[in-house]
Amino acid sequence: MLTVYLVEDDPLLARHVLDALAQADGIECVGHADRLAVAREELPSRCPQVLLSDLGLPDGDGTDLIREISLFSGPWRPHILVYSVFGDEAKVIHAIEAGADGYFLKGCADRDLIHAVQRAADGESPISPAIARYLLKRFAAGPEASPSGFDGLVSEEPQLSSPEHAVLRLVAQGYLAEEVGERLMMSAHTVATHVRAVYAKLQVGQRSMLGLAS
Amino acid sequence: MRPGLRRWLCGLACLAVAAAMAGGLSASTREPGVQRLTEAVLTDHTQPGAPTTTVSLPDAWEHTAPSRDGRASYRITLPDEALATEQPALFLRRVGNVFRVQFNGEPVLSVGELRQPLPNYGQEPHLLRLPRHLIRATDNEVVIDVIGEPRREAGLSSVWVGPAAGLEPMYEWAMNLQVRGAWVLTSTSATLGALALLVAWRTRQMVYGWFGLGNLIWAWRVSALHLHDPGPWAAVLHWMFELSYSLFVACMGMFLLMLVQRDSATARRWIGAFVAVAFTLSLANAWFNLPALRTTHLLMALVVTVITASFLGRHALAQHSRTGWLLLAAALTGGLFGLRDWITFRVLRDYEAYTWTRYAILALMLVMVWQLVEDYARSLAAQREATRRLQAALEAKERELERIYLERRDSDRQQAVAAERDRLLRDMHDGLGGRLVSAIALAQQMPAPAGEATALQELRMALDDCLTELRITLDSLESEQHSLGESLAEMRFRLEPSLRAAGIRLVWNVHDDALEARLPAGHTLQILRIVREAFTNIIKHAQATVVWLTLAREGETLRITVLDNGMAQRAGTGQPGPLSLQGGKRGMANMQRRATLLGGEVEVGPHPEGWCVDLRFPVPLPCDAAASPALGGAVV
Repeated sequence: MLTVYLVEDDPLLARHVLDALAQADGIECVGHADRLAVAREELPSRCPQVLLSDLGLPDGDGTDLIREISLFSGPWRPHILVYSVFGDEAKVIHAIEAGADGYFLKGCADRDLIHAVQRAADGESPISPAIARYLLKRFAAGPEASPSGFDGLVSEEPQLSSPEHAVLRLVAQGYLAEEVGERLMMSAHTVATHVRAVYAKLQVGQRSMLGLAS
Repeated sequence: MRPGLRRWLCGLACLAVAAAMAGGLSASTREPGVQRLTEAVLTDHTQPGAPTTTVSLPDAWEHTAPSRDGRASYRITLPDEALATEQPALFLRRVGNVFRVQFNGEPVLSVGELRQPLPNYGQEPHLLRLPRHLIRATDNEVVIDVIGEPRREAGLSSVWVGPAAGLEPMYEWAMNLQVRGAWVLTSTSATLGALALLVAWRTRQMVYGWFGLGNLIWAWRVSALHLHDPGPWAAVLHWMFELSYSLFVACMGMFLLMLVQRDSATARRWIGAFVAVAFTLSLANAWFNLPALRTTHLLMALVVTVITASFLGRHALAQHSRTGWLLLAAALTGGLFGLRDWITFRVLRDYEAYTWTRYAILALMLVMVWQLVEDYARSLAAQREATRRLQAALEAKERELERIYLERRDSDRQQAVAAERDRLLRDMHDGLGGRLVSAIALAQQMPAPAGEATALQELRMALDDCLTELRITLDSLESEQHSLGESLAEMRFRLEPSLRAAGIRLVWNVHDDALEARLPAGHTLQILRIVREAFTNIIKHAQATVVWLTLAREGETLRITVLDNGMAQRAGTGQPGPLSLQGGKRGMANMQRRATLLGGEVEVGPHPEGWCVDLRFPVPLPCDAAASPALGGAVV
């Protein structure tokens, strides 16, 4: 059974997601918080496999919660998806840098939501053309292009592998994961894991910079 | 003016001055009828028995009788032919200290009183018109009683006799050179000396101080012996007169050496030693009355002058500066004049000669004035340059400030605009976007009432449309401009869920060379709206299963085709309803209008595969792609 925890302050959207999760087979929603404080209190005991989180919450930014979780050194490490209206906002990228594994679109069909949760648990990460474009620029320019504000710090930034680069390039051109797979002779799942690997590299660079900064 | 030309002019001026002076000083030219008498019978009344001897004139007591103190009579026979003129006269170029003239036994001239201390008239010439009634047919004679004191330069020059008209010019020349010249030099030297001291005081430049001191000494010296009555200090006056020459040489030596920055400690010591020796010699002469001491003293001053000149000569050769050459010329003038005077007075013992040396000061004055003007010009130029630089710096700073101000203002303005735009974007995104998302969620949760399924579906699609439209608008407002390829990619990403929901598969086919086309933001927005309209029509009306989107570049034209395999004649069938048809027509008209705005054209119509929207519009060739076409696709 796949366990999911939801952090969302809009009751309408929360209801939509909770209903969709309840109807899905093999998924169990183990909690719901409308405040970061509540989530911080409940999460360590619930230990969900997937965390769905909104970013703009009444008592703070969901990105902080994600950073805390990804820096948490326990055995529990959930897959994190953040809410996004369009899937390409700067704050989504910030969240990915902080440790999120992807996003899911607000108001998407139930089917798509369930699919996204399952794929996240499977180790795949969604990506949009805008995020791909940002990542290409980011890894080409090095950490200076980071929006996080740690400018001027030199860090051992991981580099993109050539398949990763090819994947990002095609996504940025508008090709979907399946089409990218076709063009690069790989499965859609492989494409998605490449994406997650790129996200992980982004987070490594971010952490090394945090380490340097502290 | 070129430096070479200037040097030539300077040289010519110096030569002219020297020639004029030489001509004036040697103005003992023969006038017609004038005779120079150089033989006299001297009766020395200071000796017991008043011995009589024949002497030749000029007779300088300093050399012929240094210790004579009193009266000596010179009896001179006048040639008859010299007196055979309307107004015969005598010209005494120099005689002193005081004297009496008797012509044929009658006193005709008495200059100076016989008292202690004795006055001195030995510095000026005398023209004596002989009374005609005293002239005898022959054996005319004149007796000149000269009363002098030791160390006071007593003596008698040659005597000229002849017509007064012929002697007058000689007398005038002598007056000019010896008397008037002295007063001119005194006033000039005193003025320049005071000026130089003032300059030295105000500018703290010792070089002018030495010059000023030397000039004041010279001003005193030149006129010192022209005062007829020396008062009780006659001995001191003559001693100081003798010493002043060396003091002047020392001052001017320091002046010249300082001008060329050669006033080393050694040089100062030598000059100090020179002054000390000069002091001793002059004092010894005043005490012992030995003319040889004065001769030695003057020779030493001459040597110092020559050494100074050689110093300056070396400097001038090394530096090749105008000032250097001028200094050398001045020092040489001093040296030459000094040598001439030394030979004339000390070796030839010529009592009637006039000194040249006093005029050497003119050359030094020229140097000083030159130097002063040079200094002034240089400092003025430096000041102008400094002012110019300051002005330039000030202007540059002003321009810089102006530029910074403008940049700052522009950047502030841009920042304000950007902040305002960001705020609008955020508000639209979080506010409108969030509400739309909520509405979509709500619509999806609504159970479809019987018979209203299509309406609900339409509502959901309309809400989706709104969200997509919002996103396109937001994109177009973003400060960072995206290429057409990027914008199309994002639109596809957002359309994909709607297409899937409608069961349509989109085949995406974008060519690398077309992806990088950068268009004005407004153009991109128009293109996206056209494509979006095409997709909306397909989702709503086409009942298609596959859509092919192709983006390609054909030279300077970009071509976007959206081809579907739906019902080919859907515009003509009247399906599916009047509302949709109207919407479709309006959409078509919108597409046409937008394509016109782009300067392109859109063709909508049936296609062997189904239905095709074909948009073409011009784009400029990207310069980097034109330079290296392979790069266009590689850069994303």
